[in-house]
Amino acid sequence: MNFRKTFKTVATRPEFAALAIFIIIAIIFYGINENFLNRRNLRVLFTISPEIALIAMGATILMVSGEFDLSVGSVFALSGVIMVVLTNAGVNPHLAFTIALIMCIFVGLVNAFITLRFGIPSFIATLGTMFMVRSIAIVIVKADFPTFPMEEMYWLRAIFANPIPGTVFRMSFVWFVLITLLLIFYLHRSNYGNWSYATGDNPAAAAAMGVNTTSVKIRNFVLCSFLAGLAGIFMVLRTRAAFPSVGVGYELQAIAASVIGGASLFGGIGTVFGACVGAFLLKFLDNGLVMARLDVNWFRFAVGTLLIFAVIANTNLRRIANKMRD
Amino acid sequence: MSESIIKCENLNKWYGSIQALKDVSIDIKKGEAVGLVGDNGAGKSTFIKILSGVHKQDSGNIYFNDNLVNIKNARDAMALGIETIFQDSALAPTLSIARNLFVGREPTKFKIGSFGLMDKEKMATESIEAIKKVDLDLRSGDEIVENLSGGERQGVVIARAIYFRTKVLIMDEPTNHLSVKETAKVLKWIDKLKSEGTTCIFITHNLHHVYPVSDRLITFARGEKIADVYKKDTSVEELTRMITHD
Repeated sequence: MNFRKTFKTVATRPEFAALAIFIIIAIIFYGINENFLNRRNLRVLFTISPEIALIAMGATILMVSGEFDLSVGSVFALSGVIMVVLTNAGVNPHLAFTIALIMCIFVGLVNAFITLRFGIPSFIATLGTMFMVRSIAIVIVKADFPTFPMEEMYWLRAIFANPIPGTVFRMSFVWFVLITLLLIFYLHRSNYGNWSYATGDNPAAAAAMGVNTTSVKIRNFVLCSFLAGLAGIFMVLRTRAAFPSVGVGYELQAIAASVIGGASLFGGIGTVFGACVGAFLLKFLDNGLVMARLDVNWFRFAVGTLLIFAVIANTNLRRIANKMRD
Repeated sequence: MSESIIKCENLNKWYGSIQALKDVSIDIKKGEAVGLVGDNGAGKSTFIKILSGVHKQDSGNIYFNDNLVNIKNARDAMALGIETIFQDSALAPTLSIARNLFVGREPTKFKIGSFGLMDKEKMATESIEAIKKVDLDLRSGDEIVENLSGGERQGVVIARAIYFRTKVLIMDEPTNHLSVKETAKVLKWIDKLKSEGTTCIFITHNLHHVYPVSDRLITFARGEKIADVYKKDTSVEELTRMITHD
């Protein structure tokens, strides 16, 4: 009886399964190469993982409310490019930072407007803006890459990117934890979160219960874009370079992370924690393959396998768990 | 029984060039159970969609408790105390009973504008209270709606109506797809709602189901109201004839 109950809990909370796989993978890679979990490599892992995790959390929240955003990879590049180019042009770097994030919010609004106003699938709407935003990012830097304004960005780097002495973390990790907590609050504890689930699950029922499903979706489109832009800024401040070509393929990695973390492509299911686990899982896998001295090109193969496995497991476990009544 | 709760005067609704409602006037009294019958496309769905705020009438007036009202959306209807249960779309299946009961009206611990922190404890205890009222054998409000039978789902929806002290409950095919046993249960709940003073309006294809609980039956055909009779003055046979030979 107890086993049944435990099984049911795990089956209906797929993020725990993802967490288990994550731990297993970490142990395997550690077994292959002890350096996988040494200070230096942990520093790398905790630097790159939060960036994709921020994007994945945004993608999950949007998916919960029933929409997709494929433009996140482009937005990821755009925000850093805008910030650096504006600063180089003499704009106050903090103002440039703010403008860059406002532009990301604007992209989110455009995504929402195209999708909701014309009633087309967000998959297509954001595929369009994915190309458009990427193009804009490249045009802004004139297909070159701008020099990084080291002096002007001193404070931004100190606040968002520098390593915290004595730890394996950077400042971006602190922000990531803070934002994750806020997003957990938003999606799981607030009424807006409940409306997001209801909207993605059954828009007609949500609307009949007085939920303004359009505002719910607009809000989540904007949130998703904003988080992608912020992640892009973190990366630029860390690497001290604004390449207009970064983040290609991140949109699909973010969706993969969401799905591995238990989110449903049909809306109404997914958790912030699951998105985090999914994102960390992907980055640990990527890095672990390198550390194990395997051909890194197997990364995509591994992600693909994991993705298919996760979706099959989630769908079927859920079905089985639903049939069980204690 | 003579006080009216919803009074409609000359409602008209067009979808493009098709007139879905033609000069429909209906006066529904407090505490009545009214069945709306008619074939597909007769106008009964359009009528309830106007009452529930999904569509807006093109002309005509609606009075609620003798006050002229303007129902622009579902929120307006709910603020008046009109709750609608649409077929297959009343609940979010992947959410728990507790979350479903309170969608759009979550009790909050604090609020900034419309954004608030849900009071989960209150949602848990109140949802158990609410489902108890409809004699549902469900131990907790955490059960996912997907796992419930069709009849239990209707029970949750009716529990919601009772909980929020709905004045008018509109049900679209409340007994569709239900087993005989579950149908009996739903009809019992409707009786309970009536006894608590809730006005019930239901749309139905199956006259036999609603006939026992209805006080009054209104027949629609081609967007018009063609009959409006008290049950005591009619019979299932007569009504069926009306629907099929209009």
